[in-house]
Amino acid sequence: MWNKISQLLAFFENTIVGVLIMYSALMLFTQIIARAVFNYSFSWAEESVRYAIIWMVFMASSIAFRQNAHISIDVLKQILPKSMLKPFQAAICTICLMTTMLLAWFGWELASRMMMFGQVSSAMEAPMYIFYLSIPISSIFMSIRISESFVSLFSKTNKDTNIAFEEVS
Amino acid sequence: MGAGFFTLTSGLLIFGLPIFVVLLLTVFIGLYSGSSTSLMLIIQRMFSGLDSFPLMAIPLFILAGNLMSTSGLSARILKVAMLCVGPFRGGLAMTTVTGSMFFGAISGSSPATVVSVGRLILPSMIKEGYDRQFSVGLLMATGSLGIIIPPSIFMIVYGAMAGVSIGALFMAGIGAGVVYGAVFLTYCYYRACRAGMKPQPFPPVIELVQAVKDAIWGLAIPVIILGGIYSGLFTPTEAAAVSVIYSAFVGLFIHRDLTLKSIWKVCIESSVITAQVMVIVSAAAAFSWYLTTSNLTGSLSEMLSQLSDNKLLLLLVINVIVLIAGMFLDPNSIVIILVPLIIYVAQAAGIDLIHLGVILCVNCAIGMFTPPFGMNLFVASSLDNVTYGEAVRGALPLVWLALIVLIIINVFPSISLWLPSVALPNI
Amino acid sequence: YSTTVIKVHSDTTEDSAQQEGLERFKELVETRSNGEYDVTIYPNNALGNDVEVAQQMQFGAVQAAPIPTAKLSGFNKDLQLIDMPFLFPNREVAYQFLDGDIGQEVLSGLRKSGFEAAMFWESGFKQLTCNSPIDNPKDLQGKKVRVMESPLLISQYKALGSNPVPIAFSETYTALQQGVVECQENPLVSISQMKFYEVQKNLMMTNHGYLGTAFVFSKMWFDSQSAEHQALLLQAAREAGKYQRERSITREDVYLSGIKAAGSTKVTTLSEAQLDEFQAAMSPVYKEFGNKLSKGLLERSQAELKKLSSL
Ligand code: NA
Ligand code: NA
Repeated sequence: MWNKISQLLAFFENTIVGVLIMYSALMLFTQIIARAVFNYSFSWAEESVRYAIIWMVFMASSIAFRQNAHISIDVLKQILPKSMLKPFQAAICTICLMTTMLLAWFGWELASRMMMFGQVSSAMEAPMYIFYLSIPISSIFMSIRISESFVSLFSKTNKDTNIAFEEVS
Repeated sequence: MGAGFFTLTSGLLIFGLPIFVVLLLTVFIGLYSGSSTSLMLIIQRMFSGLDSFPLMAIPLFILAGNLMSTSGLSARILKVAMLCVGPFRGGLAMTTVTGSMFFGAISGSSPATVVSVGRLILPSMIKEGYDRQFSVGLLMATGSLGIIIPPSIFMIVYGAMAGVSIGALFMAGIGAGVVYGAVFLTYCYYRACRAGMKPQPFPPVIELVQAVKDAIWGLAIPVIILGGIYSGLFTPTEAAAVSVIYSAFVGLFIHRDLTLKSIWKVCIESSVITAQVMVIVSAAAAFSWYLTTSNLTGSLSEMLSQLSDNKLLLLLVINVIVLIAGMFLDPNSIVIILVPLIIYVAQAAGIDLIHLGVILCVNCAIGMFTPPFGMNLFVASSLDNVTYGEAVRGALPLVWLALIVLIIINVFPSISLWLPSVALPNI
Repeated sequence: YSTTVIKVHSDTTEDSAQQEGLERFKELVETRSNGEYDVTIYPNNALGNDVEVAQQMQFGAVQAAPIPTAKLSGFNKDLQLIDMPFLFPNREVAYQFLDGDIGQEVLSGLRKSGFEAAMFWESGFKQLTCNSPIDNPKDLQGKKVRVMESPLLISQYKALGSNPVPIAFSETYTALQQGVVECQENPLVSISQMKFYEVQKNLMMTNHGYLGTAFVFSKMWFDSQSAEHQALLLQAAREAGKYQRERSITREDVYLSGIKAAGSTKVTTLSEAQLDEFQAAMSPVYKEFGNKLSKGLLERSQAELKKLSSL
């Protein structure tokens, strides 16, 4: 059951980041063509690309947790005796989880404050909290992925799911 | 307090937590224990650390590089490099250097260069009897050319931080990259002579012509990127989008080795690689705010400003600081954390900010393959069953060679500044 | 007692009228509070850019800053009033208006966005630079003009038939140099310090817009101070602001002569009649943005400015 949900979330993450990065490339290219050929500029092009990429980065951070791809100094992991590995990785998961939950909490607090103050972006004049929500929402996704890794440390059956702590190419 | 903070940071780093988690966690702890500042600040800095248009070149240059590797563009370019220097003594090693230079000119990041060149050339080097450690070391050391030769993600981040023209930085990187490449080529030749390697006969010219013809779409990329930037058709950031569209177009319609489906897959992979880099940039912005306001680095900047009347000594100290930082941190965090501390001192001492950018770039390029932490080390470890230990042992002797390049670039600013001064006389 | 730290953000270098004003503010606050306040100035956007710092002020992480009105308009639309083209005929009228009832009303409107505003400081009047000479509005037709990412400025240049391109301040020099854009507008302080004149052949003294900054405190932090200290802080910001304006005027002459001395830029002063043409060509902005402001604000302002101008 959880595997189904997890796959659905993965599909959701992949679709968001894929669409956003493609949008960014196409929008900037369109901007160049419009300026060079038609001497016209979209005033919201740069801003929309900035916020698209910010959403993309935080959502893709969740995928990176799923693939255990976040950059770290993993020397200690390589020299630890096998018996220590599991508690060690459990500790890492716990600390990561604490951090992403703090991000979710304070991210939500900041976004809701922005909702209250009603700041809008400078070019699109869109509410800023929509973009700031990228951090708390993605942090919830990250928390889910970290929890999955944590659980998989202690369950023997789930070896085939590609969640964390398997080597990534 | 300062010592405790840095012990905490390095302790958490060595423990093996993701770097961005370490940066955020230390700021969480620092702000919570030491001041009344709301922790919402961290979120605000994380967001605004990324909210800068020049940084948008990072995902797009990564995407473009991956599109070129997935399609046959990179392989075709390497074939040309192989035909140019392959017949010399130590030709295959020299092909690694030249290939990295070529690939550096179409890709913005070092790990991408290591992967693309490494996949294609490492197996043949080992098959031809090259020492395994040397081969991997050379690959990592020259892969660093990815951020020295334009386009360069490092230069973009530095330019955005320091308010320096990214176009001029790109120009300045060419000179430094050529010197870096030349020193390594010379070393490969010297090594091959000492090992008694024999030169190979040159292939018929027609073969080279054919290879250039095959690779022409790839070889055109640096011309299009730099030409577009310097003719005013687009900004350096927009150039990244151009190279994405261009490589997708060539892969889909000219070489026909990309499909919409494979492009979609590359998009998602590239997003994840982008996130690995940019989430650290984002966390480093929070970290740097904390350093700035808590006066933890006050003694460092005070020491630096006392050196401001001795340019060479100041440069030496900056180099040492960045080299040490480079052992542990990635280039983008280094720039974000250190540039605010050193830039005004450097400016006061009369150091050209473009020259400084190139110096920092080469420093960070070296940091990419110095242990314990270096992206090139990790990426190389993922190639052809190389272990982390082998990668480290292969890298260490070449660090010295790279340090020689670093000294040359420090002492002769004109290597960096000549090209921009000719091409962009107003800077 | 312990000292309270006041972190002050600044978006300019240390060599600026704004820095001089902030140092005066620091001096006044620290002496008058007998050292109860410790003011630290962070120049060069060290804490973030204007909009980012304004956000930080909303939750009290930074305590005070002079922030350009154009950057605050995302928080409160009424600040766009100050950015209207040709709003002020000259500095005296601008100061009287901004320090008068309507100016104060606009400032106190910032309370609901989380800022306690003390006074308008300034960057100065905006001038136009371009690669080709611009003598009348028609010369700007089809030209690519770099503007701040602000809907009002974008529509101001659209009204002239040019192509406004929003480009980050830090990328503007390169963009001008490489011809991505051909023109830009800024006060002399920016044209001089960012060296835009090196890559622009013409500087037109148009005074077509006023770049004001609002000196604001974080309301969250300000409200937690004693009434006595609040008065002290506001008073210090106002006195320092008077000084900042004086320095701004003095420095403008220095900047202009520096640009002239560099020799690569032709400086043109436009006649009243020419400026009237620009004013007429930019006037559609008033119609478009007037009703985005609080009801009646634009009409009252125009009436007040007419009165002040005729004095
Ligand atoms: Na490159
Ligand atoms: Na390193």
